[in-house]
Amino acid sequence: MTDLAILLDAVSLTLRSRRALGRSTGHTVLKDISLSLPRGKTLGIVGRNGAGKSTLLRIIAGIIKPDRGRVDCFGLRASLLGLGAGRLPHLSGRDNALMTGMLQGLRRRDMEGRLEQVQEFSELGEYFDQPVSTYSTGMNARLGFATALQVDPDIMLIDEILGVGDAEFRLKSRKALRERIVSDKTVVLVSHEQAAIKDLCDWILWIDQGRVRAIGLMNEVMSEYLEAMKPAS
Amino acid sequence: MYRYLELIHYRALAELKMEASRLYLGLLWWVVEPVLYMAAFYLVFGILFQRGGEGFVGFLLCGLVPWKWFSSSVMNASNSLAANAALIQQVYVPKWIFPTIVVVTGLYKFLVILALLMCFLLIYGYSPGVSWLVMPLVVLVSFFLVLGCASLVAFIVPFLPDLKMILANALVLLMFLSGIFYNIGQLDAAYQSWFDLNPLAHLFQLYRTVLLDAQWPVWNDLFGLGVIGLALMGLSFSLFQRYDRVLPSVVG
Repeated sequence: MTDLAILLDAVSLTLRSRRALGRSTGHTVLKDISLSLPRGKTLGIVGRNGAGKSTLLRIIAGIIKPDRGRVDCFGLRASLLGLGAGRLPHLSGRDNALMTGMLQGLRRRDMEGRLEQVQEFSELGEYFDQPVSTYSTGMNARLGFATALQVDPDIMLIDEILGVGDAEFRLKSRKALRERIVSDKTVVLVSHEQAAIKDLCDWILWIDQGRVRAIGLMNEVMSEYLEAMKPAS
Repeated sequence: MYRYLELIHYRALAELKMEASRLYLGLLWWVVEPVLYMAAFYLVFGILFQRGGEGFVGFLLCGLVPWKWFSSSVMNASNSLAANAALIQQVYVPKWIFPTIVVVTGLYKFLVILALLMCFLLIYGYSPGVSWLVMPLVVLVSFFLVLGCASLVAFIVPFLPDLKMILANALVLLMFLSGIFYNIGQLDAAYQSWFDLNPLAHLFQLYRTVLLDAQWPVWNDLFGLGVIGLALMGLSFSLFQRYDRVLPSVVG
């Protein structure tokens, strides 16, 4: 069992949405999701918008607790890498990167030592010390990805951050990610970019309306998924 | 735990920096804004209503300065989880840190204003006593009370958003009932026992006893308030712990 990185056992989540005067309605987001991912492997999660992919990542990251079922990351630090949610717009890129590192569980001193690499990878140059409110979308994305790389958790949960920046940066970020994957990092990836999924993943989990539709090796599940996603003729 | 304290301190400083950078007068607003606030109360109650007479300014300020910390913290804390919703859904952070950041930001401002208040009292002719040495303890007890109330409100609001609608009014009522611009001792004895139930009225009285009268505080009051504050903190922190991984779905 020790070679597992992530174990989900019959995980279900129902959210209640509140209505006026106390009535509430239940809405099943995830139902009976089970999977086990060995250390050093890369899992891609595919499915339509609203299938529950991002929610599943949040459950693995320990942000939300499922109503039923068990989640175990065997003491590994799993964090969700997204594009700069929760930045303080009046602070510089440097201060924001530092804060992200501290939020992700690094000590201030450790993260301070990695800021130079964030600046270098993000190619922000002197903009790194400007408030992030002045950044373009692409610059924001570069800062987000560069920070995420330096935070370097045991398990990387990546939600749609591969399609960011210009073509050149996209290539560079995918290359950096592949280096992590090759060096035995456990990665879970949500992306609508089929090329990225095919390129990086060993396993695929296909979820549909909160349930597992298929799980298995990349080639098998991916061809089945693409078949199903073809527009009906 | 230590790294969360580091984070709270860093976020509080960032918050202050951010406020200052948004305005032309920057840091000066820290001082100007509370002075304007207090001047408004002095104008109405000190000059127009002719209340209090001798020593009224000191009396008023000793209530208003800690009150401002309390009320702005509770008000801002009520919004603190919603304001950080994007972050809460992206990273696991214990949710109690968000109201705590609000209260600590308020604390830093409060300390500056308190220092100014003490300077003002000296210039105004009050003489400092040995009792002023107990001020750190008074501030600590205030911190417990402010944090206890602010984090409890911060916890309840996501589950019961309607509370936000009455919060501002409840705070106004509480301000009038805490003996800030009148002396509770001068009220009808029948009402006085009700005021004894208000911890804030006791708290402001502590500031007056220590700063204006240069006397030692009533120790029972000081420790009693500390216990109430710690109990409120304990209650809200255990609620936060219990719902820590449920709150992200509630605030989103």
